[in-house]
Amino acid sequence: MARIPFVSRDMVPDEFRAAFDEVTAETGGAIINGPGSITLNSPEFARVRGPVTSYLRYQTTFPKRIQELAILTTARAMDCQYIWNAHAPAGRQQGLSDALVDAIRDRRSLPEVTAEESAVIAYGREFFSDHKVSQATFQKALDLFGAQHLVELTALMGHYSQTAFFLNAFEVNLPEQRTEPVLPL
Amino acid sequence: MARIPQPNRDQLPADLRDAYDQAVATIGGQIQAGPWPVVLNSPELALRRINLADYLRKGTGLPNKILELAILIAVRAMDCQYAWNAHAATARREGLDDAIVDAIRDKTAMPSMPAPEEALVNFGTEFYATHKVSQATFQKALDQFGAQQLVELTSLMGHYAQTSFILNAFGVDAPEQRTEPLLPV
Repeated sequence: MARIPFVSRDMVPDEFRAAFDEVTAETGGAIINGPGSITLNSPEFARVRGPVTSYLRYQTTFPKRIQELAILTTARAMDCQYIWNAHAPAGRQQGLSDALVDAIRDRRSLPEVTAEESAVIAYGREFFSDHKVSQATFQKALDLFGAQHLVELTALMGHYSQTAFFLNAFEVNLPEQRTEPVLPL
Repeated sequence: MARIPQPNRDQLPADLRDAYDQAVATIGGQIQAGPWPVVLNSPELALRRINLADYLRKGTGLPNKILELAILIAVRAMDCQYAWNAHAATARREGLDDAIVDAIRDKTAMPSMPAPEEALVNFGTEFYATHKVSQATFQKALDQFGAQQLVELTSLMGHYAQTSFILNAFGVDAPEQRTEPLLPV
């Protein structure tokens, strides 16, 4: 149970019912957990955010393994247990080494990683800790990913830091069945 | 000059040109400054993100003064000179007290504030400082704004933190002609 109850259709003002119906079409009229259970309190916002999420996650041609690494870097920087728990298994499935995932979680020194992995981690960490990115780190990321994908990678990390804000501020609970250790805080 | 040039329409992949044209039309033509020239390197993302930003800026029914305050909290937390310079001036025009704007900029003690401003400042600064929000602060913000608008304010802050990431990482600096002092960083 989060800090606010999940939204049922009868709680939604008439003017937002069409947006509510559109957003919940896939899940059968309610979203009872995760970030969607929070954003649905503003059905029209949920409706316009959905296409951004789906582009950044499913329609971009950005490699999945790098995408999951960007999400994990963000979840760790923002101390978001919910995102970490959801994406650490996905990152492992996409081929991130267990040693890498565990080192990010525990903030230990990283194992040997590929050039792409190293570029994403440095880019995200520099921004989240200093709020800027050095020219050398920027250039490496740009050379490896190109302008379009680097914009998308940046937007993805920003998007998940927004998601972390919902999840942490509204205290969305972790699922009871977990396969991942929690982030040490 | 940002770290990358703005995209040239004719050099974009053919399947992204429609999205590029629609995005440019929606933002009101070729914009040379701010985040859009960077984001347009991913035209489809730009188009979807414009719809999201439009709702948060124009669709929520929240007073402009409160929207601008939320933006200032996020861009101060992310040390974004470009967005600060653009929005501090707007916030003052919308009637946000100069003493509030200046205290956020300089990270000095906040002046006495009306209840909505106080609730929002505490909510946003707690999250960005600690990545969580205390129950007392959460409850005050919820009582003040209700679930829908609190979700929208959270989203708006998250959105501008994402914008700050884009602006700072891609080296979009504040313009030379400024009306606002820079953020002390």
